[in-house]
Amino acid sequence: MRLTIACALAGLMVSATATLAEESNQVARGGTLYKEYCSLCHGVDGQRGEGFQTPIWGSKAHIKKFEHALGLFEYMLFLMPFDNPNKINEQQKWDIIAYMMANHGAMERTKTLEPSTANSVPIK
Amino acid sequence: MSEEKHRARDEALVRKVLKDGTNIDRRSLFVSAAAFGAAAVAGPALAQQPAAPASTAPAAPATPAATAAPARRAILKDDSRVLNIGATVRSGIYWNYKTFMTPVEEFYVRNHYPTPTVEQKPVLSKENWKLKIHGASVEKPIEISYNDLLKMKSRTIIATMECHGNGRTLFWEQGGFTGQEVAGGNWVLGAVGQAEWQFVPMSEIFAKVGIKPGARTVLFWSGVDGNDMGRPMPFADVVAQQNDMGICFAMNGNPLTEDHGAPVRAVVPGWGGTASIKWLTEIRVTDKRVWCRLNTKGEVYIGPTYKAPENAADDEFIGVTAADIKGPMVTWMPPKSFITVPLVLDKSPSVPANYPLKRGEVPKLTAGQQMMRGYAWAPQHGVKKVDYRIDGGKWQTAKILPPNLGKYTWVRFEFPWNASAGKHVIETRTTDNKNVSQPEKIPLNSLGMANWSIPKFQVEVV
Repeated sequence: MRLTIACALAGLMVSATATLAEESNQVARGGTLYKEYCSLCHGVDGQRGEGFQTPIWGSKAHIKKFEHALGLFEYMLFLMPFDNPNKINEQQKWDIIAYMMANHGAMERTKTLEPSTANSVPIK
Repeated sequence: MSEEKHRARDEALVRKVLKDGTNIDRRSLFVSAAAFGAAAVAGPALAQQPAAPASTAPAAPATPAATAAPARRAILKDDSRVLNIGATVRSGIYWNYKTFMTPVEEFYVRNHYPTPTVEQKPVLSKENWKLKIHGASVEKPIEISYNDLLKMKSRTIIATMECHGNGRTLFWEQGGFTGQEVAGGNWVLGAVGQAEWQFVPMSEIFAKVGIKPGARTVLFWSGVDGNDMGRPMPFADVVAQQNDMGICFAMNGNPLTEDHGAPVRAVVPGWGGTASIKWLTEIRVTDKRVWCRLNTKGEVYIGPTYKAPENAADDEFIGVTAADIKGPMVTWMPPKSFITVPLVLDKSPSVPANYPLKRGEVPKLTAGQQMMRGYAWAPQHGVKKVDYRIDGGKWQTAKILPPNLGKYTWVRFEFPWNASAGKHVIETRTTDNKNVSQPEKIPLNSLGMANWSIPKFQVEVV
């Protein structure tokens, strides 16, 4: 599963430095959660899906406005998943954000995103 | 399970969730707001909440290890009176509409970000609120308080307000487009309502501050709603409508509620809802053309038959670049109509959470003589007539119930139908006072904006 995801995203990631074996548990969990709760609207590759047209990671994404991972979390806390933000809990949202940050190149895939330091993970 | 089976199972689950809706256990949004402040639910279970009375204060976070994000309200609407499309999206239940004026409790709500609260943004209290009116084209920039605003000459206007995406459903159900080709929230037809808005007209504002020659853009901006909620309007368009649009502080005779932009918002009758910027804190008039998200890649027509506008070298860009200019901005909302019957949702990517019909289900009517009722509007020129036809037969004219107040407003209409048993399709078509009628189909625009094609209501008469 990881191999397929890593290959599929290799062309879209801003920096693809980690090998498939080096992925934190959190990023791996986030990937699974993303596929289940996010991919239908945002696309398996985060570029476009049935709900939303704008990419949510990578060079064409517009997530810079959230400034850092905490800003993105605050948005997702109340707005995502789109139809029911209660569907998943806060930890699951952090896991998905970690996956997104890794794909966007804002964080290394091997790392774990901590809520307490999320405001020092900038999104460029 | 193999990877393929995992993915297939995941995808099937997501499709099921989006198709059938998930909120079987969800009560009113008051409960959900409390859930955001409550301890995290273990595991990916639906939040199982007991019904709770409305609370006026946001719930305090229960877990010390919880995030730094403050507890905030999402939308304060009772889901029994509105249609739950998503977190910041509530549609009017249009098939229940009866009144000329839409009660605020039943009025659609659409935000791009959670409703900002006074707790997070103290400027939103009436005591603290300030509106900065300034810019390169303004002679005497000012900053006015809420009390200053109330002392200015104001007027009311009866006008519909409609989300740009209202009727997006028709792209999927009738237009033959997929969820990939047209994306966005599935409003069905209820992202519209009519209210009486009290506002200080832009003509008063312009007279007060003085506008220099060469003004090109009026930018309405919220400094508290996310960080990119602003809509530039061409100065000429504002001037053309300057008595009929402005700075609004009351809706249906009462101060604006939080979800509707309290304490002060813009109101631009006839244009899509985003033009009426909520939680307004700044109006800037400038001699440059201004580009930001809501006129480059949001609230614009993106499609093969639309030509993206070109920018000039000295244009101003806020948070976007020239590469983001995807299509012409949506301006006046076009003529539309509906009867008070829920549309069949079959091909749409999602079914709203509390929709009364399951996917593919056709609403049932009783056989016999009955009056069909509906609403029609044509903001720019007013409604001239409304036609209907049954099962592709001859177009007949419906009776417009007075009052017909013309531009900016909707009318109610009715027509008699002796419904015979079986499946039928009812269509409605508004013609405005410039003789523009709703078309059969409209071209693709990928954000699903302003679908004004003739709606086809399937019913089963039993």
